[in-house]
Amino acid sequence: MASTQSPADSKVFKFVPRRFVPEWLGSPWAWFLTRKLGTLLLSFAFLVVVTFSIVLLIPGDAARAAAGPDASLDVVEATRQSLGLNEPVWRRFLNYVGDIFSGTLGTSFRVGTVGEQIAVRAPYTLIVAGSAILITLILAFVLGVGVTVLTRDGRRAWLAQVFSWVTAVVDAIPVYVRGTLLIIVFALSLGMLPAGGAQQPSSFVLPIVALAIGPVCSLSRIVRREADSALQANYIRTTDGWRLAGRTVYLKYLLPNVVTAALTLSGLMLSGMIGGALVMEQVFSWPGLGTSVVNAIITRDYPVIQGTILVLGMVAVIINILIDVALAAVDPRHLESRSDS
Amino acid sequence: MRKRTTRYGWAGFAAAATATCMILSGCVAAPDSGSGAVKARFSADPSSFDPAQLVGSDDYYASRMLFDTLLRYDDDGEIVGGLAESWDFDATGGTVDIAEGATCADGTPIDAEIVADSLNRFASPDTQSGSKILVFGNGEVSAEVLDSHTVDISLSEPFSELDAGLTMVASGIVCPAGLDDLDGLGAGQVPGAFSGPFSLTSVTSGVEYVLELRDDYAMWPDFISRLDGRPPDRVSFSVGDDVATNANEVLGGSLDLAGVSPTDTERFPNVALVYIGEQYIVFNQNETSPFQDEDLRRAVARTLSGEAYNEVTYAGRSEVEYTMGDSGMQCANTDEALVEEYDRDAVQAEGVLDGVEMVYSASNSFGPNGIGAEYIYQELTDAGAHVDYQLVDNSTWASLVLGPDAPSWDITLFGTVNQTATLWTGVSRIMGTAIEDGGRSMSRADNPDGEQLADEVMRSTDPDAKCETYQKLQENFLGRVDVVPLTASIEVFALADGIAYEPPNSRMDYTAVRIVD
Repeated sequence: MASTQSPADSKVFKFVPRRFVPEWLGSPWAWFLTRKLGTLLLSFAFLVVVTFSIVLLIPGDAARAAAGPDASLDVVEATRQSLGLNEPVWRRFLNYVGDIFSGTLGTSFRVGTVGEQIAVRAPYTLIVAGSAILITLILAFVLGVGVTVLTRDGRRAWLAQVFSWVTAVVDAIPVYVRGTLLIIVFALSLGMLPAGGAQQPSSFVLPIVALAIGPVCSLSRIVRREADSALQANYIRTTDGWRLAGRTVYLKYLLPNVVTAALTLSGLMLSGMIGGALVMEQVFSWPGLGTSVVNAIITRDYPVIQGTILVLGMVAVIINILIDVALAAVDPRHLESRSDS
Repeated sequence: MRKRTTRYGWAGFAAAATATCMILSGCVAAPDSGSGAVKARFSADPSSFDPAQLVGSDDYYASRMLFDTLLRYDDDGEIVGGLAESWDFDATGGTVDIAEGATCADGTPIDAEIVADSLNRFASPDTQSGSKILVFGNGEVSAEVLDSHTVDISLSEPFSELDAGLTMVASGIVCPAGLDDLDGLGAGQVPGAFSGPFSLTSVTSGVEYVLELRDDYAMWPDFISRLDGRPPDRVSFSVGDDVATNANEVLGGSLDLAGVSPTDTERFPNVALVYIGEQYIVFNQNETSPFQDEDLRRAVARTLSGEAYNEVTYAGRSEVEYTMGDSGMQCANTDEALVEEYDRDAVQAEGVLDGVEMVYSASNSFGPNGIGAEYIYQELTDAGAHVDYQLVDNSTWASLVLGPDAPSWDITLFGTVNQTATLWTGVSRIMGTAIEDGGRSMSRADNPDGEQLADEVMRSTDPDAKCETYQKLQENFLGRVDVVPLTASIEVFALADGIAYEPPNSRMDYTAVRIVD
């Protein structure tokens, strides 16, 4: 399928004689994945520098925070020394990079290594964010395409209106307000679900719903608009002439074309959901990375701040790269574009 | 056929993924339905389980359950024996007789040697405990074994608050297993280190801490033994600092006991009030500060109302104070006449503070969104002062006002965490050795009379004489307006049905939580 004279080919063979390059390396996929790997590495390097730098800007004395308000200045100074805070910035940066590549991500100023803390807390954030992302993708496409099909050619105008209003209103409510409303209804009024914490399996329901419901609404609106445009396209109208079954038309011809455009936007949206998860964790006292980093900022636990933000940043970058890969798989034209999601 | 497989494949994938998520969710935590279990909440992860290295409130609360102290406060605020059966102290130390029957969690009997080793390690300069100064004062400390049940404690500098200091959980007795593995002690991983009624059986940082009642524990003080109900077999603490969520969870049944906002108490039939410390205004009297001028300090005091502060910060539920301690504290002044009379209109009319430039540094931890600090700022600006207002979080604030840089602030809203429940915790912030010289005093006041009285207090041996001197000292610093007392720092805990909790001496102590049937 791939053209033998793709831009990727010309760039590779400009520097290396053709006979030294394996056949697969000249494919558009190889060039595409190389670019994405470069993006990943550059993003990592950028995040390492940024996460190291931001703690230098945080006001307050981490040694005083670690030693406690009753500690004398001698104790504070000894604490500063034991935490390595009196070392030159360049040496602290090298230590930080070393800690990253050692896998520990550094030692917390309070308890254990940063890697251990992230290993404990990340599942809570990733399960909620991952579930919300999955629910968002499924429901948004089902709702968006479903409403488009049901309201095609002006049918069920009321449904179009209701869908438009409801999704707009729900999407406009911030995640912390959505969370609070869900607590009031399902925890306090109906007593069906816990109001917070993560001590029971049912504790996961409200945070996931609070996080997913907004993106479901916004993405389903996009899907619906894309599906509506696609239904007007000649290739769909041609299927009418061929008398193809509705399911075939919608699943084989409509959905792939809707997916491409919607996925592009969903990359940004899903990265945003990681940020939303951090806000949600405060509302539900959720023991994830968000509450971890907030507590670390309060207690000036620099290694935890750096390590957690680095991991969250990399998760967001990886999500975007995966979306790009998915787009390229659905539509090979994306293999040659420089940037998608 | 192929199309159908593809379609069901997607649906199957989605269903499987969702199911996996839910199953994984279920695996992370399981509910505890044991009838002897209590579910409570820490506001933050304890930073250490080594009593000598405690920093935050939750550190103290956890260690109170794990380590017994030689002495403790009872429900009337009197100092009674903990691990100590009797004691005889003067200003430079004294002897302690260890009670029979006390054991470590690993069964080791607690004798004089274990107590002396624990105290010596706590007080050692190598340990660098921030709490040592509150337990033993500024000087050197030596604990020696006189016989298997008696320890002699010697202080190189007089410190008449030794008995109160030994109620502080930082001085809790660490058993030999803990002293042999200090890293493990700090991480809570040495079961044999514990001398208190509970053992730490599970730690999942940020998620849950489980403490279980020791079967062999028999050292309950009388006042706790008399409490109605039974102690919980198991206390599990989740972690979260949002008081609104705490309130919702207590109402929803997923928590039995948790801190809530003072404004939220009407939602609960059962609440417990806990005193954390005190809040007051402290003036920096270094040479660059306008508050070297006593008239300005007095004017500030007249613009501030303890009642108004209590209302905005604690919805009126705290106690207005007339010294650097609450009314139940030993030797605390309760004479309202010693503090400046509130008259903000007169101060504004007189214009004493008009145009006075000052740096006001405050933490946003006083009241919802720092409203306590905001009240002070508002009154100062209303009185005409030009205020450089630094409202920051607790860590930044502590770095500013407790650092060596004297001119960095002029006036601050100070809050103590008064673990010893003594006046000295507050008084030592305005008397004695300055911070930059290794002490605790942050006021840099030139107050030789006060210093003399503070020295006399520390040398007192007779309780009545000590209180008499303390009263003179309070008259001194309140008369000079070195501080402006406001209220007690409090936390309000909501209790679920079936939970009884009467904090001894109004101080946080989870060992007094009881399950009532």
